[in-house]
Amino acid sequence: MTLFSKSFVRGLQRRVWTETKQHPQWKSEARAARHSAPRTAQSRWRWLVPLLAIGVTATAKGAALALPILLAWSATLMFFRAAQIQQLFFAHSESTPFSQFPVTEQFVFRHAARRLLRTSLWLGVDVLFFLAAFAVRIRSEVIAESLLFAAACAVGIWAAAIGGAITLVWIRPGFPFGIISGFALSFGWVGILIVSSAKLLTPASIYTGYESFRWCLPTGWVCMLIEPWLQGNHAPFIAPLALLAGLAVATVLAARSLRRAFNFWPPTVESENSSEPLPAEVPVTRVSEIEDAVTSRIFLSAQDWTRGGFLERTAARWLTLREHRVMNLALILPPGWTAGYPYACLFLIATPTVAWLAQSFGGVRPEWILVLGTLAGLGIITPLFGGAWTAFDLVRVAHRATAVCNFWPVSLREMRGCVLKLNLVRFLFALPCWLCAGASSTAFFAAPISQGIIIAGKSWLLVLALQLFFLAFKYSASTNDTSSGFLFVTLFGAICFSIVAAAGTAVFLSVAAGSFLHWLIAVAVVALLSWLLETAYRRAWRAQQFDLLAKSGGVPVA
Amino acid sequence: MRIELAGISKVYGRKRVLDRIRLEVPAGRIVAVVGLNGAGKSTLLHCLAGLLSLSEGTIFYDDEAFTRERVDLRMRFGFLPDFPVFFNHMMPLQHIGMALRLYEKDGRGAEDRVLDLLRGFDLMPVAGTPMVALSRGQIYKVALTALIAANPELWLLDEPMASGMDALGLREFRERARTAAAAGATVIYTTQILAVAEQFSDEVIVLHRGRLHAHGPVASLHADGELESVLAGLRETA
Repeated sequence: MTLFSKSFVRGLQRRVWTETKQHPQWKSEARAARHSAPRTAQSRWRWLVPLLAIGVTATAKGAALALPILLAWSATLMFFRAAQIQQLFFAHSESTPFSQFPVTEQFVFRHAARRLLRTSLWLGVDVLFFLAAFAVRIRSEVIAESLLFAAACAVGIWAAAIGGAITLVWIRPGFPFGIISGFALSFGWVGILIVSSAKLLTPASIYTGYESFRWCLPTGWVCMLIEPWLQGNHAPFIAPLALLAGLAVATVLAARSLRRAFNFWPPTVESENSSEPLPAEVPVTRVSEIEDAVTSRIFLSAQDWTRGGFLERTAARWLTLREHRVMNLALILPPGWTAGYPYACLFLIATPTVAWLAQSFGGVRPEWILVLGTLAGLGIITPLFGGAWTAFDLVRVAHRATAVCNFWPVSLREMRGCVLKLNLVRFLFALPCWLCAGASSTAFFAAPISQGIIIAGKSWLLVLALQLFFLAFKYSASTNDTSSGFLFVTLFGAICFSIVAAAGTAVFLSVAAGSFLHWLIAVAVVALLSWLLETAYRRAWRAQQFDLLAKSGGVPVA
Repeated sequence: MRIELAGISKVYGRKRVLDRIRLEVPAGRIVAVVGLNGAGKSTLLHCLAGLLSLSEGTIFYDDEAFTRERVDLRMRFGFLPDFPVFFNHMMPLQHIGMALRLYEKDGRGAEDRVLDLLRGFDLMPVAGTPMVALSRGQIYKVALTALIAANPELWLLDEPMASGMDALGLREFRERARTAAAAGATVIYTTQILAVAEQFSDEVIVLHRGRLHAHGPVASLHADGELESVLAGLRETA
């Protein structure tokens, strides 16, 4: 079942081109249109993941990391696929075009299912590439057998990831899987950078984390089956096999259930972004109430973000009148900064407790619980990646996406000033929590508390130094910098990013060396590069080097 | 506001979507931008609004070169795309309030202006309803109300006549635009409805394949005074 006959389309293309060639004007227009079509080059970067993974596991020390990497990678992709299933089968944005054609629901469902399988095949190919390289390296004497084994394992990982994704959507259809996978990537990177730099995360501890988590994830069960062959370990065999059999049954049940729940007819009112059901009829507000709201000027201050709490009020004191106006756009919804503190404290208290319980009763050192819990707690009160600002939200315009702020008389310089001021206030307020978290973590590892406080303080400073870097990424999301041939931004960004990451690592390595000067230079380098990147990008933005319209993939219609 | 386009071009790959356009629009004019599909009408508007960068040339507003960082110039014009941008959970009154604050036009007297517009565009009954529950035409009316309440010197509107507004809304828009133009504001809008462009414009800009084909009062563009003849002639010459 295909959407169109390829031979029919090819035949038509030939005839159209034959006729077009006879008109010089049409011919030049057709060529120009072909050359102006957007190119999708980003997907090529996907190959870096298996290459990077192979590079990491190439050393004798890194060989133990093969399975943890495979588990983390396939788990993240499983969540990505779960998000894709939600998008393909339930978001309506993918199936809406079919509503104008005489097609059955079954046709649309099968089309979505084929699309899921086709696009997810790359997961298996990437895993195969990685496993084949790894297996051939460690079992070079039996290359043919290694390749065969790698192919079988890749199929297993792929099937477990897709099955897991389908089952997850079946169990929790409305769960934000896309956000989880995004956070998994971001937090994973930052967490690994910080913790490994502080030498808390060794290959042995990573393997301990893998051993704890492999039971929780379907792809981990496959990993357990291939462990004896790949690592020479004696992993449990019957239990993961039984779990995989259960997953197969659950996948079939889930797929049937999803098929029954599938309804491709789009809602009559645009409600994709609204979590609340729309009223059946639009309530007609009394005209006198509206007149009162306008004449009393309430409507001008209806969304006052400074009412949120102490932190919001303190931050607002730093702003000028104009900055207040700009922040009305940047913080349409109450930011909940003050309200986040109780939750953050709860996380920071519960994390060592859970870790201690896991250690006491599980008999393992659960470093990962401590790392992820602490990062999640601190992430609530600290804008780790520049913070969330509605002004940078993307909306779709003319089939492309742009930031909300681009429609209003607000300059990037103004936005930047406000965001940096408010982020700095939030960082300052969060510092005590960082230091406490550092102290409690090192106490858990039976290390000197002062070391934990130093590491926490320096992590805080590093993330603060990277704020401009993250801010540049926020501008970049709403521009066509990388797709308009503006390649140097990408290259420049990638190079700076690598240097910043390396310098950040150096900051923490110098902690171990005990050299205050080294640490000072390293953090200065991080801050300088972060500033340089943001300044260069902002200058390019100001010089109108690129459009403020980006690709609109997944962005809702305005 | 006086507008001058000094040889502006927009190039995608090898395709020139706008090709060295030079024109001037005096203040107080209503200008319709027409052309066949793909002529570059929306691109021109996006360039004027600063969303698209220029490959060459400069845009001058009242003889001052416009760049993205010129918030002072940006505050003097309002841009409405064919699907206005709004926050789903906001009510029309909040949207209008936000616009007035950002344009710094929320001083005393703003409330009278807003009430007058809400009545004119028949938005009073829905002014306290979340925007997500409104129809497309009502949303456009809200966005238009916010723009007019901010009283910009230049209105940039993409396809307002195909925005879903009802007949009364369209009439109100035309009247408001006429009043604003009489007070010195410039109104530039794109449209495919030639009858509207003929009746509701002081000048017409005809774009064809990114080039400025014609610019001037409708009567001066063709012997029979009909825009359809002008556009039909464009396709025949291809």
